[in-house]
Amino acid sequence: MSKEIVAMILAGGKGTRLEALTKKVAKPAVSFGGRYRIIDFPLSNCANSGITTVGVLMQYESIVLDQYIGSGEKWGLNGVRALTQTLSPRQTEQGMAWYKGTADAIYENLDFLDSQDPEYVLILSGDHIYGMSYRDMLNKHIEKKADVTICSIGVPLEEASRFGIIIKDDNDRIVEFQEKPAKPRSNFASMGIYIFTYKVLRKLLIDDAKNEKSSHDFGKDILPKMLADKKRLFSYEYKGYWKDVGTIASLHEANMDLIDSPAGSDLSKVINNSLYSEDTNSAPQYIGSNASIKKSIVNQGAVILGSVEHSIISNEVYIEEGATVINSVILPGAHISTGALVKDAIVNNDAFVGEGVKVTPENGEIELVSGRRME
Amino acid sequence: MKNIIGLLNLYDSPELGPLTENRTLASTSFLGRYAIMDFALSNFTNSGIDDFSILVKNNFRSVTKHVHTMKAWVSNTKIGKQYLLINANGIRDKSLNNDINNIKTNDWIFYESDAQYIVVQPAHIISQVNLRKVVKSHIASGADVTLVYTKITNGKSTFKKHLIPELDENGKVISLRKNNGDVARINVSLDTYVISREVMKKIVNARGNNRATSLRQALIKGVEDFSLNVQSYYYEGYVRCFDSFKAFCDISFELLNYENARQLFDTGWTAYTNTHNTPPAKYGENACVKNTYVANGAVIDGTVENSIVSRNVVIEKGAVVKNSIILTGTKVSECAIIENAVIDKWAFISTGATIKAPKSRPTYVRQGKIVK
Repeated sequence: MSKEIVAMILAGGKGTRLEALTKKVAKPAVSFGGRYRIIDFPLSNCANSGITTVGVLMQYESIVLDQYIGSGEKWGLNGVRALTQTLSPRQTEQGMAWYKGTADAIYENLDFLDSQDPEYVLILSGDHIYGMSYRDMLNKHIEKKADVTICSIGVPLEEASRFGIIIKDDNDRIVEFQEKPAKPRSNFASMGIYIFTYKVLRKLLIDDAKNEKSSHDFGKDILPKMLADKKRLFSYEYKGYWKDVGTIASLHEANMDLIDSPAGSDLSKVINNSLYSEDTNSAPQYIGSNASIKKSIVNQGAVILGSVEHSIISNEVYIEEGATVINSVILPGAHISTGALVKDAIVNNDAFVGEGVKVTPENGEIELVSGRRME
Repeated sequence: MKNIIGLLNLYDSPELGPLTENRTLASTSFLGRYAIMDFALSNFTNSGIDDFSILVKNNFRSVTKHVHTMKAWVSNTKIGKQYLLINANGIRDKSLNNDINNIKTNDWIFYESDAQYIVVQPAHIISQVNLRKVVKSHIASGADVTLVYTKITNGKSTFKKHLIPELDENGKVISLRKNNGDVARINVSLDTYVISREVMKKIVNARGNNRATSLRQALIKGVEDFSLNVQSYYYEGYVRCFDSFKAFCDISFELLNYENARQLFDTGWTAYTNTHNTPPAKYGENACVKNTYVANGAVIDGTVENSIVSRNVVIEKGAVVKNSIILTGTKVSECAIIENAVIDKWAFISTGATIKAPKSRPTYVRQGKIVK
């Protein structure tokens, strides 16, 4: 049966800049917002866009991620016409190879895409925080008879040099790319979200695979080649909350955004209405007699006997009486002992902060605490 | 275990006052996150019983809404079979609506399955009985029925009308009488039994004078006329009986003591429930929360003490909630005061409204009520 659109989520990256958070899990599986994992965002977006076939490409530390994706049930992507397929590098008749780049990862799975016979392919990253319907973008892609439509977001001009910048004409047709330009000529940044017409993509990837000089990357190789070949590249502008959580600081910031986003704001709507995730079989969340908790988000299974302010507390976190947590993100299963002060930090899954330990980084930095911290 | 069928029997459920006017005790919300029946269903799950059904007496909607497909309590989703069993004749004629008739109407147990043992549990008793061990003991003793009991010291105030087994030195049940509340220290039946297949068949197919109108009655009769060999199994562990509105409040509030809660939640015996994909609870800058259970989806910006706040409850700035249970979806507006109350689902407590009752007799606000 042919499908209108298949989504492919690139979830294989190591996320080196997340340090110990990604020691044993791929970046898309990193915990977020007290209850979620980062990949819940693109998967929920797919579900909410009526996309029923999703491939998740994984490579680095895939066990936790693969287990989490499972049948796709957590996002409702396991219904009668749905398919959630995890795609790791594999041995084939041609031999075996790791994914060499984003484009190569898709190329290595063209057989999967062929089997699904899609009209269009949506390429997504597994590490962005945003809530978006891809339906509008697809409609525009079809309407413009585009070969590829790139999702872009307006960024402040002074930050534009950190992004891949899109320059487009009045008709939204892309005329030029600037990769992290010193002097950006537009403030439209590429979000790394693409809809390709599959026939076009298929040919491009096969050609690219033969090109020994290519780094097999969508941003660096495929899209510039399309532009050079005068293909139809269009830009779709996304307006709303979007954050790439590539570093400890940006991950912390996105978590804090959850607390600070007022009811009715874009991010708050995403969390409250349409973000699907795993439901842990936790005990109820308990707040103790001497606890204090303000401006925070707390998941089920947490036990809070101490003081918590402007923080995210995940399931099965235990905060002892006399412990203080400020402006921090505490990941599942972590334990904060009495007398400890944790400020401006991310405390890793199952980490243990001992009695009286002070975690108070300076100069506005965010500290990552992993394992046992006894002094 | 394929050799066992579990039955969750809702026919023995006591009423919880106004809480059970339009729902079953089984599906009544508990600790903000559970339905009361979750604990009995989890006993099936934790004992590795994937074939189980629910004997529903009434309020079918309320039961279905909570258990949904029942997959929340199943380990192997392919092998196990789970059904909601209703007694169609009992809907036409209420005098026929009893657990034995329900089993008789739904006698797939005897056709579709060759399970040799039927394990019956009620919904209104919270325990952590390892049913696998009870079945083992049942097989070893060669009994027709094995009855699970526990020892209590507050028999005057709880487990009213429940069966008190008298045991001989070998643990065989030699008489069964109903607890009329005159003795504090008693052995009491948990309405939990293992019944051998052929025995169950005999009970549900009995005719005339031999026909009992409930499983409890069938056991009393069987012990009385020596037609059933009923053995006992002693359970020692957390157990509470929901048998009144007051019991519901007492059991909820006593679990606010964390040491009590550990007896229920720190035993490795997971309580499974159907979940709702709700975001974590959110606390505002004016929140002041002490000694309280809070469920996901709650948004709190007021003061809450010694209370239970269920899913999607909103407590606005300036509101004060003390010693109360607030059920799903209720909104407590700014500066409202609630003390010693159970507020049912989807109620709306307006700005500045006051609901107060003496601590010994919590008041009740019905589902969807707008309190001005």
